[in-house]
Amino acid sequence: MPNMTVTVDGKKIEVPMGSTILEACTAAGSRVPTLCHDNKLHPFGACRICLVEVEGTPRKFTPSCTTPATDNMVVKTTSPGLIEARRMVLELLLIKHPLDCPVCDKAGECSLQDLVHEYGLGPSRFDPEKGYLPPDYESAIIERNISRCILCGKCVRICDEQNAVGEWAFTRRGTRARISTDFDRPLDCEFCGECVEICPVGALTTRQFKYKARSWNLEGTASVCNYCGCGCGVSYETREGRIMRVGPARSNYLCTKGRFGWDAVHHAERLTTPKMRVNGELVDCTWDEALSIIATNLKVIKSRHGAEKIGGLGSVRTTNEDSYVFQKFLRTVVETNNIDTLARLKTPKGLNTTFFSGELNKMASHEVILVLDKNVGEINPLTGIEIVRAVNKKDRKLILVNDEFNKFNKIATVVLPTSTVNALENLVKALSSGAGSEESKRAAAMLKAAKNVAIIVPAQLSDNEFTLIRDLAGKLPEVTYYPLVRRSNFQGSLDMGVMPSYYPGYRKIDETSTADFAGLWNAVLPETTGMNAVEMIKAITQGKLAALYIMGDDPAGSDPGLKGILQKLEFLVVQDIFLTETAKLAHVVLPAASSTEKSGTFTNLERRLQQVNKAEEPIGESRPDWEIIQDIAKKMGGSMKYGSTRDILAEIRSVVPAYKDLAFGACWAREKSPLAGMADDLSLTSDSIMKQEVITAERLLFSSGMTITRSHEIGTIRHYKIEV
Amino acid sequence: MLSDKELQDINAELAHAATKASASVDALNIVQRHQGWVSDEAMKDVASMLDMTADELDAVATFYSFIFRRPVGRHVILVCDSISCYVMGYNPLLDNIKNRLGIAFGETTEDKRFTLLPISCLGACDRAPAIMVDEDLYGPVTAETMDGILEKYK
Ligand code: SF4
Ligand code: SF4
Ligand code: SF4
Ligand code: FES
Ligand code: FES
Repeated sequence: MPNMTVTVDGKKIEVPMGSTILEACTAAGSRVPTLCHDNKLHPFGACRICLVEVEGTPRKFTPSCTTPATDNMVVKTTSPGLIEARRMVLELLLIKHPLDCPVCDKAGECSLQDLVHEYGLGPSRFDPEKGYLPPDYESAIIERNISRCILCGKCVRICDEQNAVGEWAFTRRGTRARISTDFDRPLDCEFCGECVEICPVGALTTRQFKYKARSWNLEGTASVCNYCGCGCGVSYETREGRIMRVGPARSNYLCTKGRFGWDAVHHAERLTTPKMRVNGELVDCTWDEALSIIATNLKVIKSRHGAEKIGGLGSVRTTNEDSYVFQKFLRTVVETNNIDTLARLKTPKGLNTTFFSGELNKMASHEVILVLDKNVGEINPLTGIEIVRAVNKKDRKLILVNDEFNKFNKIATVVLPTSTVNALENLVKALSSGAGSEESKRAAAMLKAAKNVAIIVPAQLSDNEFTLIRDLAGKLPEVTYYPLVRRSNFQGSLDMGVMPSYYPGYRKIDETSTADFAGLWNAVLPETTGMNAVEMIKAITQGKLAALYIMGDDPAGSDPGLKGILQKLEFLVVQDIFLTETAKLAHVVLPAASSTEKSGTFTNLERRLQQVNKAEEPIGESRPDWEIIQDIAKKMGGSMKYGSTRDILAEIRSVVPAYKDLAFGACWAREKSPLAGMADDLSLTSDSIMKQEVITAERLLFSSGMTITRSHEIGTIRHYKIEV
Repeated sequence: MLSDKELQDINAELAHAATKASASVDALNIVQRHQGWVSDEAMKDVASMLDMTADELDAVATFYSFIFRRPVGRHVILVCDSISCYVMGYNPLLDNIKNRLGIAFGETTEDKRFTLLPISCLGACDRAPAIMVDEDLYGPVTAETMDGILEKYK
């Protein structure tokens, strides 16, 4: 795009054509105050605080956020007249404002408070009739204090433009205007809290943070959300070492789980001490007792039955470092390849072989987005948001496959109201022969005309759907896949080799690779591949698996049918943050530190390496997973001696080529995987275990395995039923 | 529940609307023409036809003074309370109407004949003080002409 020259406060700068005056001012380093403007939203021009002077215009002052800059424009961002005008805007805003900063949670980070402080207002010239309305406590999670609202409309717009929910609207007008839900009923939305985040004042606040701390007493720790594969950056805001609030890193986005669900780790039922089974009961014990029992039992079982009768189920929520140490422990110390995660039962066929996710923030670079899973916004909320942003901000076209109705219908260009498999068949047909329904033909034409297409790949795929997606993609010039991935570090656990037939870095287990890893790890490695999760479960029933070590997963909670099977084990160790249904069956239970209490890395669905940083001390005697496993390894004669997660990451980088030079925040390239383009299938199927979707809340959006059930805040969301 | 006629009329509007939401004022007017006002239930029904949320449509409805969100009488008297009319005798005129009908702003006569509402500038400042009854504009209105005006609305 060609540039233009704008002079701001005497400074000449070049900005792209189409920039607003505000953008030009920002580029020139001049600060212009704003209240209703946010880069995430379309310009709106409601508050008038961003007035500037433009030389040679008949109008005295110009709102900078909505006015396009023009070539050779000369702008002044401050002058006695402007200060007077802005002061007047503030004076008008304050007519109805309750000025209750001392009890307002926003104090200290309130744009209105800051501006009034900056512009220094005296007593108002207006009749101070406050029009006070009582706070609205009717909704879950969010409180509304209409009296504090300055009607900037940011909440209304973010909920509509970014979320496609449209929960807030301005109703009434003039002095009676206010933001409200449908006839002021309680909120019945996604409860993402984005409206609270963006509100410049304390009109929208959260119950979770109410009276918890003053903003200036908070300290931020950047980390990663542990509730889904998107891996949103979070900032844990702590006061005296305890998390008080969680916000988005780089002000991107958080869904309700990421923003409010973290309080699960503060739940009173957290495991704080190791436990062992004595006379059929789980009783507290010391770390030394617990670890000795584990080491002794595993050694005895290994010598009595052989290492192949021991297995391990890893976690898709623990860090890469935890997963790496876990599989290394099983391979080099226990000497078995019986290593897996049950989460592989809940992933699309072709993930990490055919489907490598594109970067989420590049969604809008695709001309057409084809959504093959109507639940995209529920399973991977950020993926859903990026789709809405692409459509609403960049005018991208959306083809939606949905046999029901949800928020995406409102923004879709074409809706194919049928099942995924039917829609795919129809699209392939329409693309090859031009035959089909009106919608399929329209969609096919859009796909054909597009330079590039983003395809949202469902969280689970049948063989038929898998083949159809490949057929379809084969007919299009450029396709980026966005597979849905439920759990936070699922990708990492695969990368780290928590699988029975692959070493870290997707090295298939064979003679050569075994020799290589034996050298790298200086260890004797098992000669055969191991059992996968489904086979391990079956082996238990057949008496072929005697001991199981479960780190951070709750199979019995997800599938009650597994309870009876796990009880058949001679020895079961469970390491978790809660006394889960599975832990209740264990012989030894080990308390793990949560992701807020430890450091390490996660790899999200985009294959982005992200740092998890410790924000709180581990609760009670709980410890990070890798430390626990290393101690057991030591007791069993293994040679692990990592001093910190940094040591482990250094080893990961030396063993997994994709991680070698991978910077924090960068995604590893698909070419780095030996499985790219291969026929390997990393998903598992079973017709007996985990058949049912574990929905731990009324909506998938509020559900994320068992941990989230311990979140007090998420628990307060009750779906408000509106008759249809 | 919208009647078949209402559905038909709204769909006719939708047929030539650029976007569904752009038919919102027309759709609200259709409902009001049939029911006299727009209830919460009707609002929800219309909103779903327009792919809008009820509060988004309510935002439109509550912005316009001619969309009634509460039941009104058979006829609605709108009295301009903006500056020209105010100067030209709004207060005595309003008192006159109030006394005559025995109701205040926002109220409806017992026989459901008239509802009295304020309105801002009707664009008839040259004829101030102005009022509007249903869709008819009157001004300048005096105590004398008031009789004749009300007579026309049964
Ligand atoms: S919490 Fe999220 S979905 Fe709900 S009103 Fe606010 S922005 Fe909209
Ligand atoms: S509630 Fe906050 S964000 Fe919404 S309009 Fe009022 S001040 Fe703006
Ligand atoms: S979208 Fe996923 S990663 Fe982001 S906040 Fe929500 S649960 Fe966490
Ligand atoms: S910031 Fe420009 S009008 Fe509000
Ligand atoms: S002020 Fe009453 S019509 Fe203009």
